[in-house]
Amino acid sequence: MQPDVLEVPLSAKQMYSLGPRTEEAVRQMFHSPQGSLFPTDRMSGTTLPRDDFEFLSRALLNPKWSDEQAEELIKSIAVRRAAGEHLDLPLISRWVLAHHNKVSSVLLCMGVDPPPEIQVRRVLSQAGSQKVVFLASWRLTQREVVIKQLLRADGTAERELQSFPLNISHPNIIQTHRLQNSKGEVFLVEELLTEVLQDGREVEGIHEAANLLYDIGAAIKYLHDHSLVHGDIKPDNIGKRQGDFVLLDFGICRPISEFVGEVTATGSLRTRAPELLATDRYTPDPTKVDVWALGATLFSFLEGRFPLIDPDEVVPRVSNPSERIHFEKELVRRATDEWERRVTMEKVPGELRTILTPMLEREVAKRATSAQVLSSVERLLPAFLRGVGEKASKDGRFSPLEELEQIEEYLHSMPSGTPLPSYKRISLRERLKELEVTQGFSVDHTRRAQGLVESLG
Amino acid sequence: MGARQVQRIQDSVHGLMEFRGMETLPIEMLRTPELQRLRKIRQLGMCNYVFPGAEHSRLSHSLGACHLAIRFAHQVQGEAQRVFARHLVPDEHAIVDLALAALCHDLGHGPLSHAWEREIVGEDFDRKAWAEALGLDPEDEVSKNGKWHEVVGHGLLEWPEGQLHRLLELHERDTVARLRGLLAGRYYYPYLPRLLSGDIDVDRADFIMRDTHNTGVAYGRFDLSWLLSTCTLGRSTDNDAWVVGFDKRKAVRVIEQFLIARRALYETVYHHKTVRCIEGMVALLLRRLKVIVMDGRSLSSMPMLLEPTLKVMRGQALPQEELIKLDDFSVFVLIDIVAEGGFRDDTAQDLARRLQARDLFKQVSVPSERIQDFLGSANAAEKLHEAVKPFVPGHGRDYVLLDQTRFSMMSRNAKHQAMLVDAQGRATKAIDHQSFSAYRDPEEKREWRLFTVAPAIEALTRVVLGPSA
Repeated sequence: MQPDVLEVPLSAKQMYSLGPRTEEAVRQMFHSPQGSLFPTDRMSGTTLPRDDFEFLSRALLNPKWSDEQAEELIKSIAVRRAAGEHLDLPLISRWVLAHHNKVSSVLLCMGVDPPPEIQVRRVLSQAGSQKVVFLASWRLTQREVVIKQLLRADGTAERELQSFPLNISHPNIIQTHRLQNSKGEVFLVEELLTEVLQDGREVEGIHEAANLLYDIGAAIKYLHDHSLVHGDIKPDNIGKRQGDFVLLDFGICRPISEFVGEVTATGSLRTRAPELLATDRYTPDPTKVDVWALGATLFSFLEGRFPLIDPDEVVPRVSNPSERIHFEKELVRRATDEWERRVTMEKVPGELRTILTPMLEREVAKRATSAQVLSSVERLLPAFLRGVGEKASKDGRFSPLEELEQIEEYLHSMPSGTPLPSYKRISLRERLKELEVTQGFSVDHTRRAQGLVESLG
Repeated sequence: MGARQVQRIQDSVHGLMEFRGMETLPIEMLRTPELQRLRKIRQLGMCNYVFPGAEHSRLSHSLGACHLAIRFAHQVQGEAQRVFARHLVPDEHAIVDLALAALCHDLGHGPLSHAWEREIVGEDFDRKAWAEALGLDPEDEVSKNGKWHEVVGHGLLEWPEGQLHRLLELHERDTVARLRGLLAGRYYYPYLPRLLSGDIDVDRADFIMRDTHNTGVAYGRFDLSWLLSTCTLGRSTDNDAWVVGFDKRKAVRVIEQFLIARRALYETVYHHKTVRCIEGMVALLLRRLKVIVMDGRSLSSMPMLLEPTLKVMRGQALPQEELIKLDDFSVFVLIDIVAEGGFRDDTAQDLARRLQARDLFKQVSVPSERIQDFLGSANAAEKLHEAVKPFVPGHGRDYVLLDQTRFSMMSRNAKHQAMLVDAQGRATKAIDHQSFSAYRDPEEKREWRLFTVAPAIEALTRVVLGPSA
């Protein structure tokens, strides 16, 4: 067959407008040395009309990809076609739309082979070198989810699959499911959270700080109660589901018994407990590393830096072992020589300082347990917690502070000449009296509550 | 009060209406004469002359509105639990208040409702006299600005000797004051009154369904369950206040359906030309009787039943014990007596006999705009009366029926407007939504119609259209 007999479909020709390199790549794809990649009509000898390039050409043109990136993508597609791989061009086109000018991301989407009920939408992140996180839709639940495929080349990646406690069910722990494709590859499917915290985030007042401590504290206590250690608490492993904080990423999470002395410390250096820095080994009570890490995380949100790390200091990656070892040594030095100067709490409000100080205690034995953290938040800051302690509203939807603000707004918005019925006046007054003595309220809060009590007679 | 745990009422529109716990209180109130009076007042006045099934009473409508008030209140309560702390969520006391207010919202309607209020009481009724007769504060908002039936309704609630007042206060002190506030748009949950009085409220929701059901017209239908389930709370973008509204993503079509259903009922039932003609004829008769009574003429033997009616005709304000004797039946007895020659007045007797025999006026087929133009000319009324005079026994004015209908699709009053609540909880006026742009007419729709006795039609047409006709 003469090469010029082969027709390039009109839809594919549209890609020519991306530039000469793309045009050449498209031509080559249709005039491959292995012969036509596309079926021809045996009777007439002409290429059968194909329109599955329609979506792809549209995706590459709106918005327009660069010639180089488009060329690379077309070549990759051609190679896969030539290898006999079945390609779902409409689906690829959706990935092209989702990742403008990012061939690598489209290739990652093409490279993953999720179970049939999952359809990959786009790459969410490529945290570290070991795993890729995708946004996907899960047909079974009709929800958008996050899926993670763990590359199997590396031992640590395998471990997340083996050790992850899938029977965990806690409101402050991310919901995770485990699925397999036909090849036996394992995927983790997680709920999609509205927000994942970042370094440098600022907490919105003591209200959010108290809820962060309480929610993640509760998650950690749950793990510790079940003899598990999370091992990698840091800002980007905490997410938000509406108003609640949720703990995620259980890659290092294992039973306490496995955190024995010989195991090398893992997890972020930013929130690594001092005892791990000094010895690079876990102590007999490895649960305390979680408490330190949570304390360091909140510390960073309040102070704008991690306890042993300077503001804006870049922590060397694992892929750069020599610098990383050097940095670890520097951290050990700081923990020994500069502790008093660094672990200060200048910007931490008084009530929080009382709770944060024992969390960031250098000596493991003296450091608070997760249960102690939880009970001190309940004791000292109930004003900001939803549904905790005797004085919080019983349905648990609003913290005492929110409730005070709501009652205040309600009473102020009452049209004049609308008397409250006596039962309502009495019940509001009694509730305000309870709120008045809420632990954690500032003088101003208490005064506001008192003012409202007086206005109710 | 030993309220029963559950009260069940079978309703032709809502099916089984169950009232539980405290919500049985409105049912306890039904035995009072104030509410029983509504059994003797038809919801649709004279509509049954045209739609034979339209025999339902104001009591059945009030009960239906009460039932819907409870259902809407439960929905709002559920929504409030999402956004308010426990002590600020409307509790069963508020639900019962809303139900009672819905039950009592039509308490003050007079016989045949509208004709009575327009012709006998008149829009210029002596507010001070009525307020005093009913023991209301004349400076009170309702006394000063309310319609007559609203003033009477408040008067019946406030009547210290009345069984309704006493039962309500027995339930809880100050209940009457709260209900009166709620009916006037003031309540300690400021967003709740909109459910009682608004573009979309329990009153309208019930009467649209009930009137449709009983007249048999096929237009006035809407998806009540969907409307209910989309009812929610949001913060008004105008003033940040909490308002009752409907889910913007889900409710636009059902709100449209509701508005269109109401319009269809107005066009096909309430403003049906024959219905308006009969109501107008009753009005002409009542107007004539008023003149006669004011003239000092009376009946040789006056049935006790008619005394309150005749007193109101004479312009007297009645105290509650007499008011509760006013109902449709007394007016029909009056019509019968007049038809028998009771007041020795030819015009009144003729009009009454026509009503008895359903011998109705006919419509003069002249477009509304032409009538309006004609009415703007000099001595228009006198010309009409003159034209009719040769064909009737008596004065022409008693046989010319000028009828004006008014209708507006959506309210312009911010307190009554339907609200849409978006996913972020922001509430905006439904009238500003693009789906309702067609209903944003600046003025309510008015239409003129002219009726008279059949032989006078031609003469009247010539007068209105001019000699060229």
